[in-house]
Amino acid sequence: MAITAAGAGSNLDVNGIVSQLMAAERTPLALLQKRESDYQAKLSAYGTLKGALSAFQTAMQGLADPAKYNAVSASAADSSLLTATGNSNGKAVPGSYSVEVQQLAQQQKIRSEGFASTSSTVGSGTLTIQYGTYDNVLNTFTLNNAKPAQTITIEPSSNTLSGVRDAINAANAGVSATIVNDGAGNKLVLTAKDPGAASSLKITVSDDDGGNLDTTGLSALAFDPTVGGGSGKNLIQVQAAQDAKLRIDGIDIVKSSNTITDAIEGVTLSLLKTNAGSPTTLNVSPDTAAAKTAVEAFVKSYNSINQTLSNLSAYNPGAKKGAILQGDSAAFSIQRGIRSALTAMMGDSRGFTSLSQIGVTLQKDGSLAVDSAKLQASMDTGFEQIGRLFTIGGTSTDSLISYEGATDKTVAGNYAVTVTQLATRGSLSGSQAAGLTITAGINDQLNFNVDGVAASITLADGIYASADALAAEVQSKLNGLSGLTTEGISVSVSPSAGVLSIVSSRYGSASSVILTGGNGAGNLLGASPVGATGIDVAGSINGVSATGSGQMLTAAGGGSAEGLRVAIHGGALGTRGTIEFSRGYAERLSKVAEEFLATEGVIATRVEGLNASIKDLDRRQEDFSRRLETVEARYRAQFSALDAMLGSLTQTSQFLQQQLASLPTLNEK
Amino acid sequence: MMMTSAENLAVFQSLSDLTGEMREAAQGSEWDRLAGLERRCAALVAQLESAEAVRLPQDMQRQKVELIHKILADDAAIREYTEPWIRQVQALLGTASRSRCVRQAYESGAWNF
Repeated sequence: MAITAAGAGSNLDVNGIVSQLMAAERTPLALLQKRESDYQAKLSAYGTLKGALSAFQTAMQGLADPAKYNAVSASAADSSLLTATGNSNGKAVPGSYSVEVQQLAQQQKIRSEGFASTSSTVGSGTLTIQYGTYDNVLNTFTLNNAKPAQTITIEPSSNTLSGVRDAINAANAGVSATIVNDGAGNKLVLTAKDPGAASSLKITVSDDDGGNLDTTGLSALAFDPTVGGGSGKNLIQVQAAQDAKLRIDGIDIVKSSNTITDAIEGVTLSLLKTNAGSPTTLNVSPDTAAAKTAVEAFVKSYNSINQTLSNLSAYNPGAKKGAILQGDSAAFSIQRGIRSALTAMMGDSRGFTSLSQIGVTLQKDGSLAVDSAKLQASMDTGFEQIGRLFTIGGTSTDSLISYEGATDKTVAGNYAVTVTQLATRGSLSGSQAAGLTITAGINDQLNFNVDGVAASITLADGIYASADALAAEVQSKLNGLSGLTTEGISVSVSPSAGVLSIVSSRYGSASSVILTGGNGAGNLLGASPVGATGIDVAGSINGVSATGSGQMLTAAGGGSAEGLRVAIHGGALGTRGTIEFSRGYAERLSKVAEEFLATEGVIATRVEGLNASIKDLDRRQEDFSRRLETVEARYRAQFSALDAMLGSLTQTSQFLQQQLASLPTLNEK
Repeated sequence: MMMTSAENLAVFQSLSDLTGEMREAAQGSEWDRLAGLERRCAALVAQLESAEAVRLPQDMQRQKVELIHKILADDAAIREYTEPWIRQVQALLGTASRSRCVRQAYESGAWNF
């Protein structure tokens, strides 16, 4: 009879066996953990790629600026007289100019009489500041139509000299105020922010003490240059407003500012001092160094993203190992998108159309290299064409048509423009000559609706010298209304044989000027003024009917010109030449990067997918661990039970064998 | 405790029935059932151990001997079936075959016993 324990029973190390068994059961868990760490590594690689792509996009956005390629350098022989820089519009024509500065522009300064202290009471009420030109021969003040009237309220709580100063400065009304202590008293000095003869000040006061012209109360600050001291001209001029006067190549030029952007096309002049009688020479030349820097920056940025992509996705033959994103379709599509943008034809048919033409060539390893000599040669022959190769833009063959913009869908090319209707502005014309006598409370109120916005004004009372003066007052008051300025709305008011007409500055169907009431309506515009709503421009671009809004004509969808926007500033109806639209490498690449980085873009989608997979793996690991616990408990219970059972069974068999042994009679039989 | 000869023989008969069932459970790898049956056996054996010796008539004594031999045969058979399971566990611990076995078991779903 062979009954053996065979190493079972209480000899079994249950804990040791179960723990070793569980280690084996955990193998799939380790596989899940490995997969998760692979996903985490990919996620981090996408983070790196996203950062690099984002830096690339920023660089390309910067390099899509035409000013980077079209810069001119301008310098005066005597830089203490004036400095010059090229404008961003890149229209400067190289050459040299003779410049003589006869007079510098300056702003007007006027001051009050002395006050005992800065806390002396001045008064309260409102100050209305108007800008214009004072003619001291004719003693007339002509309003500056471009600068609307400003009103500053001086509250009784801030009626001291310093309070008035602070209120004026806080109003930001084109005038700054300071207090000068000359030893004898404190004088309030008002300085116009803008220089130029047309920015002379006229200050009218509505004084809370009732006397608007006298030297008592707030009216001490009144300044009408055409009247006498003590009766409305209560401030004293310290410095007269004057224009800059200069002569360029024998041509006399008058400008309101010492910074002159429109005397020599594409060049900004900053006048520093006069040199009457001894002109200096200004040289304007293309800034090829700046253009070269921009092209090199483009190449460097491109090479940087190319390197990042290659580091993340290439196979490394040395390590015999693929990079983390090797074979990844997202990384591949980004690489392909960027490369294909680089090999597409850019620019337009009048200039360069590929990078290789300017000495930028693709190398075998996918990077770009610059041939400096070839780049310099291309700049020497076609400097103004370089920018077109990198930036978005358009040029028109018709001077009254300008390129205004395009969308991502607009394809580079040459597009014909035909105009069938010109845009007009909304207007209102009086039915009779305007009355020149305005009386407060009688005929000084006018209510309008300009471009759909309500506008109410109160005209200054008095007898106006001419319809021009009254027109200037109406325009100044309307354009000074914050309700209109915040909407970007303005009007121009002009008389024709004494009849005023008010024209909105906006073009198109949204433009209108409507008289809605006011006691001065009849006096100003007659019994039946005639209004006209503006109309939108109409025409076609690239042979397809375009959408008109104001002066803006936008090419309809579907064609290659889709989204191209041009402004028609006037001119004849019919065929109007062409717009040459170019789309440059920097612009294109910036857009490509933007698409990849978009919320719904390839990287975001991939990251989202990885995050979901990682979450799923976490869940599976958790499930698995839970199941392992159950398995372990089961193992443990069974081992314990069998261990106990085998021990007990041995005892049973021993007992039974004793029983057999104690039965001699039977055995002897 | 006193036990009649008939009672004594009935206990051996019960033991024999139980070890027979245990043999089936071990053969079917029903380890939990096996352990349960064994606990009932152990209780019966404890009962026998605590009882005073009973003198049986010869024919009953022969039956008792036959029952003990049958029980010991069951015991051997039970070990025969239980030990391979123990060996299987030990085989799982062998480094070479461990992970493969476990993975196969995992993939086939058999691990979820």
